[in-house]
Amino acid sequence: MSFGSNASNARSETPPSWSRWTQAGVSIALVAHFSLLALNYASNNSLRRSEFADQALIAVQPYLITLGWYTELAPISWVTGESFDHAMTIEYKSNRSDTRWTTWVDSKRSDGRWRRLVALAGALAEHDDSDGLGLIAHALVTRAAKEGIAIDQIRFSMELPEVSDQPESIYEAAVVKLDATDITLIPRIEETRSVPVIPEARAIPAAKGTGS
Amino acid sequence: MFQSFLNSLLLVPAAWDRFWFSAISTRAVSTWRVAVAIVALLHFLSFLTWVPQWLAGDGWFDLETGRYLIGEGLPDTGSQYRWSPLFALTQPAAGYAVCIVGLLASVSLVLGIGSRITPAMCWLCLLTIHHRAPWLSTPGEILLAAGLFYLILDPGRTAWSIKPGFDDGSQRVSAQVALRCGQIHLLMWLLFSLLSMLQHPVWWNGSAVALMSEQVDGWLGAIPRTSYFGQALTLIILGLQIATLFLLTRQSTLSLGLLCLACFAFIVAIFAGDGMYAMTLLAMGVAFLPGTWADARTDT
Repeated sequence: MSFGSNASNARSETPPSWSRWTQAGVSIALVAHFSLLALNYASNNSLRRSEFADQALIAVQPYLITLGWYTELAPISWVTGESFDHAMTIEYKSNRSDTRWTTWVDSKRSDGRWRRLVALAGALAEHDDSDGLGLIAHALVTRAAKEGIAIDQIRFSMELPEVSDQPESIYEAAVVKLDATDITLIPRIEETRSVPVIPEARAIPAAKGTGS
Repeated sequence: MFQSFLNSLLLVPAAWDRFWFSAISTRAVSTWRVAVAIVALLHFLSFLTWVPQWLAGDGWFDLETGRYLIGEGLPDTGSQYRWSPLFALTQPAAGYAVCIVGLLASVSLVLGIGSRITPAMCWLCLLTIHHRAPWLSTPGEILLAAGLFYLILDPGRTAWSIKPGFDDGSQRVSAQVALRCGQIHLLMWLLFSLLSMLQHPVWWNGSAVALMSEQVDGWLGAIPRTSYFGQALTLIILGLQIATLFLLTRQSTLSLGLLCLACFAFIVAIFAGDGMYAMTLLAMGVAFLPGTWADARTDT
């Protein structure tokens, strides 16, 4: 690889240079830095990593996360074709007796931040993380109330054109007021389910957003 | 033959030193800095429209949701290293403050004021937002943070001294290191992005572009998954990335490589609807600008 390496200094009689020790130290730092980045990016993208890679990444988290190199939570690929990349909508009812849902957020017509949020909601639904989904819904409903949008029922739907013409609901909850400022959400549970699903590793005590 | 192989190995340390540690004119890194700083400026302007409302304690992405989603309290998530002050400062004013400081630092960075302090301030403000809500970060922000970090090593000269014909004669090894880091980082980014894409069947069966068109209301509308146009475009996107990677690693083909990168960025903007990411790609690509290198050589 050259890409400009012959742009070196040849003019001055004493070109500025670093000592051999400095160069050696910086070289080691550069090799370590880019090796960790490569490991990080490779593990992040494949989402299937060896145990060695997993342990290595955990060991260097202080460096990678603190300085912002850790991209596990922010995929570097601009499209992955994952199932949660589908278009999604967030709808609500101001009164649960209403028959029609009002479309609030349509990922196809929203800015990048809302698209990231609904993609995140889709990913949580994909992994049965109803607690996380409930927290997002709770934050949205609470904030919406402050913005003057009264929400009595909220629903996240995903478009699956290969399966159906109609969007598929991935989360639906009713809003219950606890007091003047606080609310809780009661998720709608599938008819075949007898108890709410709470992943063991993710269970948090008294998650106010789940209502379960 | 074995001897020649050994001899070539012995040349590696010298080539390494030449690649990383030969001093170059600071004009090269200054041009790159201005490009990165302008994109940072645009990012902070856009942050003003959402960070205060989203990341306040009672924002659209409130504190409890933020803490839960970084895995707080769970082992091996590294949540303790997410140091954003926005976890403690929950008023919208804190969000505004971070954006405005970042904005002012970006302007200073464009102008070349403040030496290493300004890229450091930009980087800190960007990471403050990123660590508070990494799930909401876009690829462009991650790439921009890398560019800003490398500029801390050497931000070059003041902006008004990059015009052709002006040369203050300063040459630094740190300018070379900063620019090389930016170049290597962008190449790694493109490589792993490409590898990631190739792992998914949609890039092999040609339906990726159609899938993207279904996610965003682009000016081409929804492209049918079976259309030849979509399938051809999918191949072109992959080809552009491969070509960019190949052409940017050769001095004689840098211009072509940058052209491919620009085409790729254009497609990112059109089909993924992520104009900021497209601009960040272009700004990082300025590190390869042949004119910059030519100027650096002229300086010598």
